[in-house]
Amino acid sequence: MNIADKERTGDQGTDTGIKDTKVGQKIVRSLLSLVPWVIVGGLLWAGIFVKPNVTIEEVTPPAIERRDRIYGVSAVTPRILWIVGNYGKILRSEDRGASWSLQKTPNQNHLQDISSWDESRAIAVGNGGVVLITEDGGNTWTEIEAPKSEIANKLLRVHTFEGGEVWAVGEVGMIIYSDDYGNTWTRMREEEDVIMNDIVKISDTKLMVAGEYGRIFWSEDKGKTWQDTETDSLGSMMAIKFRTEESGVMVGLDGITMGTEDAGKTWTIIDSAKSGNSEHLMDVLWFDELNKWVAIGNKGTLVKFSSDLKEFEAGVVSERSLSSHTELAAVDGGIIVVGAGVSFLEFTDGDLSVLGK
Amino acid sequence: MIEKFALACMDHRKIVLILVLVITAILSVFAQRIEVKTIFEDLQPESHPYIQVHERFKTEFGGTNIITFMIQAREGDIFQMPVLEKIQKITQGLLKIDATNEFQIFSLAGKKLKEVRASSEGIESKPYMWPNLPKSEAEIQELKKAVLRNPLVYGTFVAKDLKSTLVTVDFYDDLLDYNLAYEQAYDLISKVEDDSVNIRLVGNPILYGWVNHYLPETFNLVLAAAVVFLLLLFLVNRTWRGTILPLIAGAISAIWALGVADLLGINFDPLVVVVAMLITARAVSHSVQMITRFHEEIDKLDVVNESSSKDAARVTLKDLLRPGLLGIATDAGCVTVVAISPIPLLQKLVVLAVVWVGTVAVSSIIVTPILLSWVKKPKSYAHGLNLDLLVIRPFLNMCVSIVATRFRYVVVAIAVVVFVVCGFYATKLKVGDANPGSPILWPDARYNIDSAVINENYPGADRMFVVIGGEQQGQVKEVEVLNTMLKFQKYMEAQDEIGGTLSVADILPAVNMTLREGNFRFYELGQTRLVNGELIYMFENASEPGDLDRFVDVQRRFAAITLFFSDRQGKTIQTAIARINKFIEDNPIVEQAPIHMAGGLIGVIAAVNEVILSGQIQSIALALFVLVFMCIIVYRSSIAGMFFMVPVVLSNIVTFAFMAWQNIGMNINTVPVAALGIGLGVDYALYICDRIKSEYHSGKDVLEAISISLHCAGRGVFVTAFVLIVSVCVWLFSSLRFQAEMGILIGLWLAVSALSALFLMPALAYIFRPRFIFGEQDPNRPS
Repeated sequence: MNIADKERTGDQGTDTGIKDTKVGQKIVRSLLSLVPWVIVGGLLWAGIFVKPNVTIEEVTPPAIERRDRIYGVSAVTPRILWIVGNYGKILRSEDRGASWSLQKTPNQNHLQDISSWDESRAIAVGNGGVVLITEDGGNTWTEIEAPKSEIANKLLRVHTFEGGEVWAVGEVGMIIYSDDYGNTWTRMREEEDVIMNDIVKISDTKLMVAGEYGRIFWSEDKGKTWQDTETDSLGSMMAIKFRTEESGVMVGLDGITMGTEDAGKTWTIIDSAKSGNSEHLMDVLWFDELNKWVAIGNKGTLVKFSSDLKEFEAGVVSERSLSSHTELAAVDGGIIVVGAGVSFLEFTDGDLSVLGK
Repeated sequence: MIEKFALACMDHRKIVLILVLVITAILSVFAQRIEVKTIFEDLQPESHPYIQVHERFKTEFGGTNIITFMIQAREGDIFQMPVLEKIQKITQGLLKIDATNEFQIFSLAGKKLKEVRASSEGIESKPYMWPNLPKSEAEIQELKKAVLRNPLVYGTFVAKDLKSTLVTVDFYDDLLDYNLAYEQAYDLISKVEDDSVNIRLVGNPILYGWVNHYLPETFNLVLAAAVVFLLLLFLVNRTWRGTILPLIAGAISAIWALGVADLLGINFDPLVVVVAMLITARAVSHSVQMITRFHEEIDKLDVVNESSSKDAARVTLKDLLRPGLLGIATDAGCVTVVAISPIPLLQKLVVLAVVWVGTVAVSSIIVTPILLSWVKKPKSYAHGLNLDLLVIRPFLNMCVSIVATRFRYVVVAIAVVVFVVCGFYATKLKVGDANPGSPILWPDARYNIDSAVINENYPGADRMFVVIGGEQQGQVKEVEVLNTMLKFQKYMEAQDEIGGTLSVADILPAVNMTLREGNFRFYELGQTRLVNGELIYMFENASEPGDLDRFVDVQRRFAAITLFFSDRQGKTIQTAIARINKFIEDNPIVEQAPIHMAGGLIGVIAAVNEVILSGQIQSIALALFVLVFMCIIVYRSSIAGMFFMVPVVLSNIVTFAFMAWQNIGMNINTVPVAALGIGLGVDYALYICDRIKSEYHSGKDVLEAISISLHCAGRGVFVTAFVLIVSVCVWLFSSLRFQAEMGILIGLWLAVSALSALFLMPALAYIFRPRFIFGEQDPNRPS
């Protein structure tokens, strides 16, 4: 029997002899008479106090965000990549850059370069002289104390070698060395107001550093003593690489390219008029697949040239993007180029597809 | 007392009528003068913190009135002479548009968009093609390269595919006339556009220009609706008085309301026309009730003499005074609730609506019976098609028989099902615009198409700015502040609808890199406050005074971060605001430089949406409270309040569900309609139930009382609902989507409240026998 029926039977008074029913009815009625006032009060309360909640859609930022600058890249294997960039960003890919996972870092400084010994050990360096190392594939990154200058401390490049050896260079003539996977460091040269842009290890004992104002520094005794030469170029050299112990190149500002075939004793300078490129070049790498050096740099520049520095082919990474790049690395079947974003070049047809976006 | 006053009016009917005529004549003078225009500032809830930020910084950091031209090459990219010429022509043409702020013109052909580059003396900045266009193909290619390498231009002012470019301009708000800007801007386009380019145009002044553009059409639609209404009324009522008197009632209240509005200095927003229609519909409904009742009363009189019309009019007035006035009072009371909102547009609207609704008390409740008192008992009808016999009476008989049989339970069950189903959908109602583009216009309107194309190719045409800093001079140069800005920008850009962000922190890294030999590894902020100050100084030296004004104030105390939105949907803006708050929460460092939300068009819309969202439950609950409370007072019964809530809640829930289903957002334009709807939903039920009550108390049994009520008051309900629903359908042909949608909403409201008054309320009255209608039950009376 519902309330309405109950009310009606009560109202009509047809079978209301039982006292209990009447008491029950009274209780029900007085309760019912409260309902409207509860509703009225509820409305007033809702009107004054209830504020609606908004459910906000979750936004998951992509691993590589639009304005990220990725300065450094390290290809552990042709498929496993590590990249570093602004605000302490370190990303790792297990699938040649198809997907990236963000790794947690203890420092927010811009990271300039990363280099790895194997799949689990790597080192990243950057602004403020920050040095980060990992021994577990990047699950944990630890900040390591390294020698610092009182003037400026941007570390620009780092390169790892067998047996836990690692070299890093940076501002104010900084050249630092570690032989225990980056845990302890030694400063290898006195301060000097020159930026060391890149370092290369040519043999067990011989090292060479490309610096500001076209200067080259080299050591024959694993960094204990250093000599330096000024090349004919005044522009800073940004990267130095050797494909054999004798044959190497440097690239730098305004597109200057230098080559040596005698382990750095003499350098041939190719200027922009010859190479067809006047934009800054930031990094260079030899590719057997192309039998050529490939250099990248500002405003999308990409230059391919032969080992004898006779043939130059200047172009861009992508026609539609003239953004700048700082490093490149060899990956499975192509090249990864990093800078204002991450790009990937296929060897087969020179096609470009953008990864991580 | 009111009754005495009303009857006194009837006794002195000539004086009252003359008085009404005189007032109408005077007010009609003012009514004609009322300004029909949109004032965008009226949308802004002044007390809201976002609006305060907006008002303080809008001149430098970007107001709500920016308009955007998109010049699109029909073939190839924009880097060809004919297209570049068009860009220059549009840019120069902007200066001829009234009220444009020449310092806020951004174009490849303007002097504000520049490339920063190194030179032998440090850095220099150079406009792209100002004052002259490139002179040779080589110069065009150089221009193209310059564009491609500047991330502040490529993708932002020139599309990624290079096929189009944007030209934007802001206005001086106080000088801006939307109509003029609209006309001059399209005029400029028609002069420049040819086979080589497509030109698209968006911006608030343009949008409101379109609304005004359709004003004549709106006026024609009002006329068309009125004609349809009169024809139908004449068809149904078959008498001239049944047609003319409601028209007079509607006209008097419109004249009074508009006249008073003008006297109070309130402008008439073209978008409010729907609300006006709604209130006029009220006036007409009340008037039709009066006429229907009058017919019935005069038919009852056996002897027709001199005074019979007057007597019938007296009885009509006396009996309908309570439901009529209660209906008007609830309408006014419910809509008043909207005035709690701090939005001036809504406050003005409430004044207009309350005055308007109030005038219905005079025009329909007093004047209609007075005019009726001179009307003789009709001897014949104006035409022979008797819809009463053919449709109305059979329909009302069906209503009665449903109450009389067990079908009444079916009706209640249907109502419950509708309530539950629609209630579920109604919770999905969105606040703010529910679609990309402007909800005021149809998706295929030129404006919305242009807007879609621009948002597809660029970060977004609508902007919001937030302001950071403000505590001390030079605060903006702090490394932490600048870093926070960049982090904030990055964080915000993760949201898909935010196409990009821009701040001084984007410029300094470029300057820094230039100073460091163009080394991209130095594309970063200065490491110290000193260096950043130096970078700002270098940039300023290389540019013109004022170039930095859109990023930082002169004292470097405040900096703006501009966010570009690709749409202005409610959820987009809500998400953005929530994320800003989350960022502030997650970055305690921000406390060193507080972030102030939020200016620009999106900032203002965000404020409006927040106000509406927080007021949404408030206004509906309070409107219901007002309604319930009034019913309780008038009928001296708490049950009465509950009883009359039923049709109101039902009609609102159905309408909200419809809005959610049709993706009509609850925004500033729909809120007043919703509040009025609450008052509107109850009127029909009041007439029906009041009549049941008076018939029952005059000795009829329950079913008989319901039958009489349905055949008299119910006829009025049926006729007015039918006639009004058909009339509002005229709005479906409006070029303004908003008007069409509101037409549908009003039609729906009318339909649901009429159906519930005709089927549900009598059924509920019969089943529950509320005491405020039937009194204490007399056991001896047959049910």
